[in-house]
Amino acid sequence: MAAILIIEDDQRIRERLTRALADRGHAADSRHTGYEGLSAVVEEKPDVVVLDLGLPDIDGAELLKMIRAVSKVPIVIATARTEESAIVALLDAGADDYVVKPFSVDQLEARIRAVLRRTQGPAAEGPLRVGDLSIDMAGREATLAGVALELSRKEFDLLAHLAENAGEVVSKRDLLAEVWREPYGGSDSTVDVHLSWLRKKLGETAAEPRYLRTVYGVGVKLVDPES
Amino acid sequence: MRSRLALVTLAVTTLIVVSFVVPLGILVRRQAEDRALSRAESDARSIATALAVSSSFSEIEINSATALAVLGAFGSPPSASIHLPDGTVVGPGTVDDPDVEVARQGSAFTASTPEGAAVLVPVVLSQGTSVVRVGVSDADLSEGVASAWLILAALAVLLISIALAGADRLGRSIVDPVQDLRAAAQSLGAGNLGTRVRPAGPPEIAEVGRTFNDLAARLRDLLQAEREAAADISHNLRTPLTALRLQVESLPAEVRLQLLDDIALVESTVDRVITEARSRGEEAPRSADLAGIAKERAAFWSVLAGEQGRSFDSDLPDRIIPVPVGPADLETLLDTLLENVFAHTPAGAPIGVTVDPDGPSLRVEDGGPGFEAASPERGNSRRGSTGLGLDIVRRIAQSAGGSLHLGRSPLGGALVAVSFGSTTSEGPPKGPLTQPSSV
Repeated sequence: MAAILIIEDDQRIRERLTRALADRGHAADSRHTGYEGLSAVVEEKPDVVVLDLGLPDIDGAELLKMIRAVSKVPIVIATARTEESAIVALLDAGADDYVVKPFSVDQLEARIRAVLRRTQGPAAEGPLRVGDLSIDMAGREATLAGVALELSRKEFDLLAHLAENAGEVVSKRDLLAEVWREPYGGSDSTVDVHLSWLRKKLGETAAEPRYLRTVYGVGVKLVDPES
Repeated sequence: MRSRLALVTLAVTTLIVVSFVVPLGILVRRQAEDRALSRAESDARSIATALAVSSSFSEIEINSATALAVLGAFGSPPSASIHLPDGTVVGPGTVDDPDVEVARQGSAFTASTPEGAAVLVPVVLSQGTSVVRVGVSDADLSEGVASAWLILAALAVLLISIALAGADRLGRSIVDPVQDLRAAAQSLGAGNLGTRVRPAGPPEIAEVGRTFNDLAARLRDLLQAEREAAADISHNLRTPLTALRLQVESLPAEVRLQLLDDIALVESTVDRVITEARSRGEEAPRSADLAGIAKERAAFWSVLAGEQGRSFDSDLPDRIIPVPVGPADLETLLDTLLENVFAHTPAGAPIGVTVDPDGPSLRVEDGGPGFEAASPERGNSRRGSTGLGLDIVRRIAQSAGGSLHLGRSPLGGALVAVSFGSTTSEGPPKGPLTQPSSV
């Protein structure tokens, strides 16, 4: 269970999110203006903040900086914009993650879990490790048996997401939603070709897998080949 | 326009030069004739005076020897002769010269002769009237005329050449800015909204250049405003869509799935509107190397082909094949087509990518079931799929002045052929675009 503060001006979204997250066992609270949200961050000290950028009294990006000035609380941005430059600016300004509208409660909750794992869990103390594979989330570097892997941005995001869910089968639809941020679009082939490159860089093949195991009809999982 | 200006200038200048040079040439010839005749007349009068003086001092009749001595005193000019009263001729003259008989009547004059002209001066002696005749040849009459006429002709040619050069310079100062304007208008028409001209030339044409720049700026501003408005509307749609989706998630499963599917369709349409609005009017590069990008994308997808046991044949030229599409759009086009093949053909089906430098054109084909037997999503817009992939390919091809054609490949499956316009400065090919197959 996590204490979640939702700062969102749209009443329908605010109410439904609060109710849905409460139904899932979280202590969800909401504010509809930026200044009320800032006050709640200071006074209530939530575990995570879900921040909408379109607020009536202050620009969400400005509020993000203000919250970051007074608190280290993990912040998940809810945005309608998908441009890379806008997303990078938000992450650079202190956001921990983001969801693109329209999102589902499942997707938002997964983001909340991910940022809580990164900021509060053991992973926050060092890189993720799966066998000889080491993934430094903060430094965006990955090594295999001490040798640095040259990964593209998407390949790193894919590997990082699978490592966060090591041992669990992750469907291609989930990968499209979590890594490509296309919960309802995209093609499985896009995931497949990036998985192929990842296998190649990890020194394995689909026929002789080690770290990346395909579960046909279900998805893919990252495992420690020695376990 | 330059050639017309030059022709007009040539005609006018030639008219003016000829109207001055021809009278001048005639004048030169007359002056040469006057000069020669004056000299002959002077010689004839001097000889006549000497003959008269010889006759009065010696008080003897002038005979041939005396006449010869007089001529000798003047250097025996070859064209001078003395016709004595008794008919004797001393010098090159003829005995029965009718002009001489006229002169014997007592009048001095200049006569025209077959050789040119002759000056005749009578001298009254004690034994009768003698005549001094000095001939002037045609060569003497036109002495110096040829060279004077040559100088005049050269001067005329020089003047006409200078006038033509000046007209050409003037023409270029008018035509060059107009040509710049034409090229800029074509570039603007091809979608390069950043095109501007440097206003130059005569004031009227420079003003047209400034007006063109204002028009282009206004056009870009309007498109930018329209793009932002479309993107803003689309972005604003995402918030109610979120509320709708969250509401639908709380509904029973039997209606929830169908409604979520519909919401996904609306969202993908919103995505397309945003993407297209964003790409419209962007001043991105409008040229890319088809062969180079096809090689890069083929190499990217060939890894997956290898894993799936597919043969991946690519026939790509080793030289740059420019096409009028931005690099990002060209990558999207190739990725969409290859992704389509992997999504709609079974593992093991062969893939072929070919770039034909003539055209240029791109072919992506496979050994799958083809469009006819493929799933409804491939190649057609149906419910559950916006058919966005090939729609995007078609849009990119058409924006490059080309087209998209679907057919059957010799490999047994689908064939997608994309043609492109050329990347000349003339912009995309003119005329109506070829209508592509239904996508």
